[in-house]
Amino acid sequence: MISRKAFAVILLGLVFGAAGSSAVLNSFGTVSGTADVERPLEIKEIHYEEYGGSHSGEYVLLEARTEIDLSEWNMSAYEDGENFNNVSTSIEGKFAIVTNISSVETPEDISVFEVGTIDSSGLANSGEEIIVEYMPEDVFVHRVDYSESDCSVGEAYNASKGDCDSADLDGVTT
Amino acid sequence: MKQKAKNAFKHKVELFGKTVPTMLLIGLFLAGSGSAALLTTFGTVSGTADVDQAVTLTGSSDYDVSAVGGEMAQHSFYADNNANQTVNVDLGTAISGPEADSDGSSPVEGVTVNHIVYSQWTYGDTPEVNFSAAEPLTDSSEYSIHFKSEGSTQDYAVAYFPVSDSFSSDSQIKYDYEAEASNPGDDELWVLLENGSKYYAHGATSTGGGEVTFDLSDKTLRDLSQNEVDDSVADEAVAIGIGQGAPTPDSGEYAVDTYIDDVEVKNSDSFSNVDELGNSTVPLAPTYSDVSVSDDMSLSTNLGVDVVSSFAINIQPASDYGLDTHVDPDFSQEDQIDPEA
Repeated sequence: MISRKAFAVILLGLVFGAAGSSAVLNSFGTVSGTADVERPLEIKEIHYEEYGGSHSGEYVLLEARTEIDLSEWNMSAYEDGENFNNVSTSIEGKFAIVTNISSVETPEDISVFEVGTIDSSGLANSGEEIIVEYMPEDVFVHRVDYSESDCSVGEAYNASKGDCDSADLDGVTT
Repeated sequence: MKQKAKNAFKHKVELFGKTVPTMLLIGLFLAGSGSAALLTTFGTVSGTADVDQAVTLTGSSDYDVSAVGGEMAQHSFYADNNANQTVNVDLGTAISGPEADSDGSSPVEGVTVNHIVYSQWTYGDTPEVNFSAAEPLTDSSEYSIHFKSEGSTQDYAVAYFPVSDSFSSDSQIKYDYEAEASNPGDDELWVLLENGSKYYAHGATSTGGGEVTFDLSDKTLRDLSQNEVDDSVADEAVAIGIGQGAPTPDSGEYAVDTYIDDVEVKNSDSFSNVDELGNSTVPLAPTYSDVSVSDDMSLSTNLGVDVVSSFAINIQPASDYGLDTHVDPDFSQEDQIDPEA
């Protein structure tokens, strides 16, 4: 009959014996990294402005974070799921302005400044969706749902916050 | 009781027909017990062993990168093989990421990781050949390998790629090549054996259009002392390397500024790509330290590992993607013991 004390001693011995065998390495080491990844092209703000002195419309502020050929990009505006208009653009630099999306037919129609805008003045006042799409891989890179009921004229819809904020188009001529 | 004991000691025992006193028998027994003092060992030699880890990692073990969808990020560290033979390691990167998209797709599917193993050989005090991953030359690959040095240098870099057992002295190698400087792109091909031996051969052929082919069957393999060896050593290759030297430039800003992509090896009838490595077993050759190659040149090498992370253009943006690269013993190798076994 083994006493409790003897059993405990034997158990501890087995534990330490097993621990000793794990001195064989499972790994030579690990290198740990973290990555902060951003979109290459992002819809920053949707501005609801007076346009042409007679009607209002949206201007989309885009930010490009990489030097890439944007001739393969497509920006589209949808209204209630129906494609209102789209345009293939070529944008170089950090930002670009797209004025009056309905009149853009070639990249030359796009003026490159520090911000980008899409005039969606032809849209109705509800259920709009702005999409930035990378065509070669047929993938959406950024999609923002927006309704003019979200903002008043002169305000800007902040895509990351999901609400209206003060406009940030200082120094930009549209 | 005492009287009984006295009588017992006085008692005589009959042994082999003779009567022997009990006391005498007890005395003989005690004398015999004394013989247990005989030696059980002729001596002990005690030793201690100071055992180094076969593969040690040097360089930064933690890093942070910022990237944009559609681009790559790269981190380099060194895996030094302290053994005197090639050690196969299980090299892999575990990817973690933010919560799944609303459509249920996993964000980490937008991240792919490849690993490149390479050596940089220094020569004198001249600048190093920098080695990095770069934008792919072709649509079929994730990245290209970029060798670049600034100024005049005679440094040398070799990128290694594991090859299957079917690699042989008759194999062909081809790769895409783009040179931005005067380097013509006809540098050496290296063959690494499991025992750590390295051999090289000259004579890559540019076929125009940026493609280079290397038919091992009509080349001469040499060891590091430049002695010819039998081409059959290539049958034991565990990795091949493509070397880029940096000769003194004839003109131009850089002595070497080249890109290599789509490295393929022809085994039997078909070519297979060997330079896009995900999680894989990689042979690490022994680290050379001041190996004399010729009278005027010595090599000291570190075995570099580049972790190349590629992010899909439509990746879900987040700041908490994790990239944990492990370098583990390959327990399928005969002389490596699996602690779990």
